[in-house]
Amino acid sequence: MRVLKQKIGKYMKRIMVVEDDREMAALTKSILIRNRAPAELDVQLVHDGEEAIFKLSQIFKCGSNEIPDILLVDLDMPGKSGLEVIRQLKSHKRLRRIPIVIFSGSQDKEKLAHCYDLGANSFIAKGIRGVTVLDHFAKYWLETVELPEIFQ
Amino acid sequence: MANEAVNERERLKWLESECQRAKRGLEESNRNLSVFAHTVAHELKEPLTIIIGYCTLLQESQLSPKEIALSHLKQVISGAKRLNATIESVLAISRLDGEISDAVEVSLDECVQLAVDALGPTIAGAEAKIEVGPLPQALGNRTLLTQLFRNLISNAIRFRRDKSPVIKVAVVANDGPLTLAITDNGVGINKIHHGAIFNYFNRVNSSTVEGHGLGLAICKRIVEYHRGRIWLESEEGLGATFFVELPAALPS
Repeated sequence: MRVLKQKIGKYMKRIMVVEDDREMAALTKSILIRNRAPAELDVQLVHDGEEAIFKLSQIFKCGSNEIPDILLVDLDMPGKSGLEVIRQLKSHKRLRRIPIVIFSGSQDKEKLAHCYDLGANSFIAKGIRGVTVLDHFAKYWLETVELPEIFQ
Repeated sequence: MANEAVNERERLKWLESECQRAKRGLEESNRNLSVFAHTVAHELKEPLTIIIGYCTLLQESQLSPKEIALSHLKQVISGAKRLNATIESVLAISRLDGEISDAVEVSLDECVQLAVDALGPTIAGAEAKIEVGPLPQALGNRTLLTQLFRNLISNAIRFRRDKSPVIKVAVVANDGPLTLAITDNGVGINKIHHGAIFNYFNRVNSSTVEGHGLGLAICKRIVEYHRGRIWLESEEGLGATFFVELPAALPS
C-alpha cells in the first residue's frame, strides 16, 4: 500500500516529535501543520525518550504503516536523553533508516558532534526564529528529500 | 629585635594565607554566579521562544481561523505567566542576600496556617489533608518562614500519588536547635536525586509535573538565611520527609 502511495508521489508524511516540554511540543506541531492539509502531514508528539523508543518498536512490530518518515528529537530530556534515543535507533537494523533531526537549544558542539557520530542526520537550533527555521525544515525534509521506505 | 622580625614574618604569612582564602571564596562565588546567570537565561529563553513562536504564527495567519488564533493566544498568555513566575522567584532569591539580622519571635503554628490558607484551592483540589502538630515559637522572619512551609506543602501535593495526599508538619527535636519534619505520602524521590534537588532549576519530573524548578532552591535559601539546614529522607514510592533545622538562638 505504501509503495503504491509513494508511486503516486504524494502520500501522507509522518513525523514524530520527541520533546519533553509539552508547550514547546505543541508549538512545534502548530508550526509544522499550518498551511498544510490534514491529509498531507501527521505529527505525533511523544514526551520522553523511553516513550519514543517504546512507540517506535511497537509500531515496527505490527508492521504498521504508521511508522514515522522522520524524527525530530530534543536532546536534553529527563530519563532517556535524545542522545540515547539516537544511539538505540541507529543501532536497530531497520529503524536506523529513519532520518533523525536534532531539535535542541544546546550549543554544546561536542555533544552535537557525538550525535552525528551516532548517526543523527541534521540539526535545528531551537530559538526565537523557530517558526522560520521549522518552515525550512518542513520544506526541505518533507517536500524535497525522498524519505526512506523502511519496509522495503 | 629578632623576635619582632619573626613576628612580622608570621603576620605576613598569615595575611597571605587569608588573602588566598578570600580569593578562593571569590572565585567560587563567581563561578556559582556564572552558572546561575546561565541557568536563569536559559529558563527565561524557553517561555520566550514559545511566546515569540505563537505570536509569529498569529501574525502570519492574520488571526484566522479564529478558534486557532484564540488557542495560540492562550499559549502566549501561559508562556508569559511562566516567565513571570520565574522572574518573581529569581527576585525572591536575590533579595535573600546574606543572613538574617532582624529576627523576631514567630509562631510556627501561625506560619503553617498562613501557608495552608494561601494554598486553599490547591489543597481542596487535591483533597489533601494537612496535619499540623503543636509547633513552638521560633526566631526568624514570619513572611519567609511562611513561604518555606508553603513551598514544601505545595511540593508535597504536586508530587502526590493518585490517592489523596496526607501531609504532616511536626517537631522532631527541640533541645538546642529546633528540627521540624514535613512528611508526605507522595511518589517519593529516588536517592540519586537527593544531592541536586535543592539546586536552581533542578526538576526531577519536569515532563509530568508542572513547576519552575526554583521552589526547593528558595526553601534552601530561606533556611540558610536563618542559619539553618534543610535535608530530606525519601525513597521512590515511599513518600518523602523534608527536615528543617533552625538554630535555637539567632544573633539579633
